[in-house]
Amino acid sequence: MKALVLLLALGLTFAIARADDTPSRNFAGSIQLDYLSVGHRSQTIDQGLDGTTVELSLKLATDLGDHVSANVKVCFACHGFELGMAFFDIRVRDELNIRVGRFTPALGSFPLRHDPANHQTSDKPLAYDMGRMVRFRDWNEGVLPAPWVDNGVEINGTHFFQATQLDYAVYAISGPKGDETSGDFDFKQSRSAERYYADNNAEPTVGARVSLTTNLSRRTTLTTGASGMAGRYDPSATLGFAIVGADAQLKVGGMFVRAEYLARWTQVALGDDPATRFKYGPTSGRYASYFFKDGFDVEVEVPVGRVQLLARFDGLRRSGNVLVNSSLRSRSAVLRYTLAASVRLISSLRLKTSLERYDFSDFDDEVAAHVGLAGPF
Amino acid sequence: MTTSVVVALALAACNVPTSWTGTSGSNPDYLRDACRLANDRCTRCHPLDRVLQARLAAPQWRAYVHRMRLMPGSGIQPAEEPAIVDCLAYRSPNESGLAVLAREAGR
Repeated sequence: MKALVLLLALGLTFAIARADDTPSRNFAGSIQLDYLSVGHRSQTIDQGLDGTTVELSLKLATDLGDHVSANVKVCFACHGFELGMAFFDIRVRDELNIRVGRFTPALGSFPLRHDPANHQTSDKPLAYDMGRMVRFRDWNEGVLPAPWVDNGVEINGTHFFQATQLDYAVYAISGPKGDETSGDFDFKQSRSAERYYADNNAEPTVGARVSLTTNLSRRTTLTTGASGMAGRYDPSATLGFAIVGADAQLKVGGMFVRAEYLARWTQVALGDDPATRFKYGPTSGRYASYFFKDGFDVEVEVPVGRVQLLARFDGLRRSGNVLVNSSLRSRSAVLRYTLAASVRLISSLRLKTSLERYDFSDFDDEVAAHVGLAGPF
Repeated sequence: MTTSVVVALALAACNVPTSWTGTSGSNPDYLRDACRLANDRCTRCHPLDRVLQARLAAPQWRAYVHRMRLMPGSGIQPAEEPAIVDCLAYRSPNESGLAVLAREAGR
């Protein structure tokens, strides 16, 4: 692995040295200010980030000749400033691009449009939730929060057939982190300077994605994709996980129909005394050493003049034993129904509003409303 | 904090084009078709606002559109790249836009 990275670095240096000296730069960004109101505040604000949140992104893309480009993106949101991108793309040809640095690996469809200016709701599908869902602490967020940003290498490419585009990506990244006591990923470890922005077990997580985009007619396009990621997340590299996903998007004129599914198997440490560690006793005389978490999202987006109307139905499910202090049960689920409208006010500035109803299996149902301003610049 | 964000948004909103005029009937047929194509392809991944905000000189659009063509699911065929560039260059504010491209291409 280290030898591969070294070789890539040398190749990159060579490519830059040969690049022409007229780089093309593009600076862009987006801002979203969102207010979330949760109707039923029975316990504490820990149920959800009830209040205002700001998301800012600043991106600089530079072409260093025809075959090399660099991208740097800085984000500010609930975690403070984070580095969302810092990578080189070395394009050998359309079918072969080598991405090196810190980036969002190809997993699923939504991460491609995760920027608040690129989607019409203020929050994300539950499978990709990063702290905006009600009860996000109870659920430990989604299957894999988006955007997932990590260090590594990705090889990707695209090939055009007559009416079809084939995209692929394979990558090796540091991967999610956790430990023997966390009973799941500990997402804070991935954004904590105290734990370093480095791999915690020196064993890469690997993944891949393939998608097909077909122009069915002049106005109709269908994209289908499949993704996977697997690795170990604890420092001693004994606890494994695997994520699989499938997605589809149909575009007819300005209307979109999207569907996505994401599932994760996660191994957990049983410890020396599982009876005191877990909430539920053994099944068939044994404690299961893993849990399963999956999520889905179906949405329809329709343009009506200056307004984008969106109806979304998404959900999250978890099955498997839980730690003794968890508020979830061994089988838990949440369904969410969302109606949203994104109104273009002036130029690219949009007013985003949505009303969401959460149907929890383990808690009281909740109604939440978002009002926000968002736009690219 | 909130006030400064709102002010920043307002400032950013004041100095940009407000519509996708490339598809209006007043433009030549070629540009109208090119902009329809750009409209369809660009909005597969993001709202058109993204494009309207990009302030690039005409030659820079080539590199930009090329990079976008290689994005997963862009649906931009290699042969479609020049037409999309022409549309976006034509729309670029404060640039001679299409004239620069035409001169470079010897059209």
